[in-house]
Amino acid sequence: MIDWSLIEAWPLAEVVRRSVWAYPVLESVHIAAFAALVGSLLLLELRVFGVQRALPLPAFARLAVRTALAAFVLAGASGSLLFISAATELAANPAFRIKLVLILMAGVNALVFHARDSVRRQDRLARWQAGASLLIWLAVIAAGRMIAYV
Amino acid sequence: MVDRRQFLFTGLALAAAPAVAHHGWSSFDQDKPLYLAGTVKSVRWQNPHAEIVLTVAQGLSLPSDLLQRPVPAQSQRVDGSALLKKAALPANAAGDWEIEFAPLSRMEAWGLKEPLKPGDRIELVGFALADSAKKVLRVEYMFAGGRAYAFRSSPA
Repeated sequence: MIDWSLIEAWPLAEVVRRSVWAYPVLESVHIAAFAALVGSLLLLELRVFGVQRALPLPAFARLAVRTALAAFVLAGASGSLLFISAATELAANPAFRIKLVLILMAGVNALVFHARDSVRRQDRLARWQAGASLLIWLAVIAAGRMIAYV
Repeated sequence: MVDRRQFLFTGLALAAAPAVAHHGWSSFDQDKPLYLAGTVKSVRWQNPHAEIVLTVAQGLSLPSDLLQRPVPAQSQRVDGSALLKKAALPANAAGDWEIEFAPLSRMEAWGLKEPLKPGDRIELVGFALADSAKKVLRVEYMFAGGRAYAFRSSPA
């Protein structure tokens, strides 16, 4: 098992904890990033479901997926900094663990979606995966919010 | 995802951990203000909120002047005197309590730029967890060094 207290002892983790403003700033970045992530995916999923068919799906999908990927990197970076500041506690937190599993599920879902070229196929499985993606990301938000309550 | 051994380890780690999880404020029983007094044992001056361990000795009693204490003005309207009037001793006061304060920015707003120190004697009024017997208190008021602090919101 990983000794999370070693990570928590990193000077960078110390800075996140001890600085008066680092924590709230990182939280803001994290929220802005996942708003962009889930927002762009929501639009893509609506389009996959057939809303606004006038928008060419391949181009729209490129825009949405690139925005989502950039946002994911930002959310991951800010989230990692928040994580190391309380690594022991978070690693043991059930909501945090569930959140990580859900993110993994969302990632696998996205990989399968793009690996089978769902954007071109636009078939029933593509729509199921789009729906699943939205539900999983909403669950990620819920699990993230629950970290402070379990 | 979580195998049995890891689950057990986590349980042990949680049981042994000196600090408890950060709690949302709704986890606390805000109908039952409690009074605690004791000595600071250890301090974690950090975000998302400062935490200390407070050692409460046997035989704690409510101070007779508690109701006369001036409660400082803060930006959120809190009926301070009603809170103090309602304050009671916890059933099992003696022992080590995990005390949860405000975020560091609010601690600074109240003039607490320097962390509390082990050995400091403080008095607190706050709320314990609603559905747990663990000794955890979220601070509403602190009386220390002849000053009163209110941590629900910033000074008014």
